[in-house]
Amino acid sequence: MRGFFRSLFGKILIIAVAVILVGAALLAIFGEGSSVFRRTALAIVSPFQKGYTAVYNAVERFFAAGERYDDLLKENEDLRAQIAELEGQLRDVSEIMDENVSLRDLLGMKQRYESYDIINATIIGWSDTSWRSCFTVNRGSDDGVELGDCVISHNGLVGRVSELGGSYAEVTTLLDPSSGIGVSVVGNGVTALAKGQLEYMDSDRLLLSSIPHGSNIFAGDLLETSGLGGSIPPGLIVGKVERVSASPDGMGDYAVAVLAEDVSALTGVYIILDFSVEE
Amino acid sequence: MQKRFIVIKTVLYLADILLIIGFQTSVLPRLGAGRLAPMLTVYLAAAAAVFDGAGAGGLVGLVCGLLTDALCGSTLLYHTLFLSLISALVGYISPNIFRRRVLTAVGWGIFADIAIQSCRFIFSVYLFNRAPFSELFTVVMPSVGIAAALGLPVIALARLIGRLGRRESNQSMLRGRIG
Repeated sequence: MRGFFRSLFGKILIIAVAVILVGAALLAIFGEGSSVFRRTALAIVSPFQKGYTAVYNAVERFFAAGERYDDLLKENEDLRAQIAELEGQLRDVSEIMDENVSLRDLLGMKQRYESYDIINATIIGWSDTSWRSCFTVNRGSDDGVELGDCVISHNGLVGRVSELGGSYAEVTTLLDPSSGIGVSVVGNGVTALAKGQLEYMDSDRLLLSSIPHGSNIFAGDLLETSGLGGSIPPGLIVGKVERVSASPDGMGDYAVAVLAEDVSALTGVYIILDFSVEE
Repeated sequence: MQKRFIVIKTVLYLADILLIIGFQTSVLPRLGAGRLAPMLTVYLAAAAAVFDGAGAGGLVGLVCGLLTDALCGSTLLYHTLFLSLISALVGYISPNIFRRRVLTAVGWGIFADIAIQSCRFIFSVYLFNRAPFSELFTVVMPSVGIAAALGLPVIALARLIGRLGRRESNQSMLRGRIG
């Protein structure tokens, strides 16, 4: 041991360790250290994550295909029968579309968004700690992604971009304890703050706070983004209220909501690069 | 040990670290273990310390810790300091007590993993009322258990790297004694 530290390699090692530790500590103290630190690590590790994810997906597809072969044969026969039926239904489609338009008008729904500039992204890595909920996607600033961009799935809002590199971005999900967004109840406009909680992280649930006492919010109510502040487009589905309770201090209510998306099952997402809202 | 073996080992350990941390952050979270987050890098650092001594262990622990701290995005330098120190300590203590075996590395890996994960849980989660103490047994310990099982191939790989150049080193030592 003593001989090791007296050798040239040992001395170089000690100097390297000292330089790395002092450098990292200085970066941490003076501002953007943590960010630089993480960006560097992600830049190094993300190619390996991409490789593993590609292999994992291929293996998963292979086994899934093998297991489902018999099911697929039967499903194929069923689908052929359905095609015949659907061809008959196709004739009614234009009539249904017209009916759809008239129903929309009837309900007073309007298109709130002129356009979403969206790109798809594949999840290549997940946070390796029990205390955070975030993942890495294969899109970055080279694709036009910016910090704070909203990340959605087919079912609703998933999270926001919290870290950015050229070819990757880290997304902090709504379940993360550091996340917090303004939501409103579809239909009556009651607003609340939806925050991730460590105890709910595993079950895809959020805590709704800042609800005025006696507000019309009930289990089963649908939640959407309020859009207050302008950084998140309004109207994105967030989840559904599961239960409502009065806060212990009697000053207001709180609720628990189920996220619209099963975050842990996600393999791909969409990033909203730009949006505009019709007033 | 010849310089070329030191260079080869350094490159192999670096590649090993990147492979393991890539696996740990991409495939492991998708295997359906819920909030359990096994840390395989601890076992690599412990194995490097057992098979290659305090210097290699400390260096591998340092790089693993830096990458883990960066990717976890919390408690800056916690893993760096803890992992490098504990690996160097293992490398210093282990040869005086145990033989260089896979089982020894597994034991030290479990010890280091429990120490690192428990301290992190207690000082950055439990004391701040972010989770009940029971999560030490429902989240932290199962994570250690999974990591110990998955750590075996990691340790076996580190043993292969550790063996590189040892024969030449022993032969030159014998020649020196005979001479």
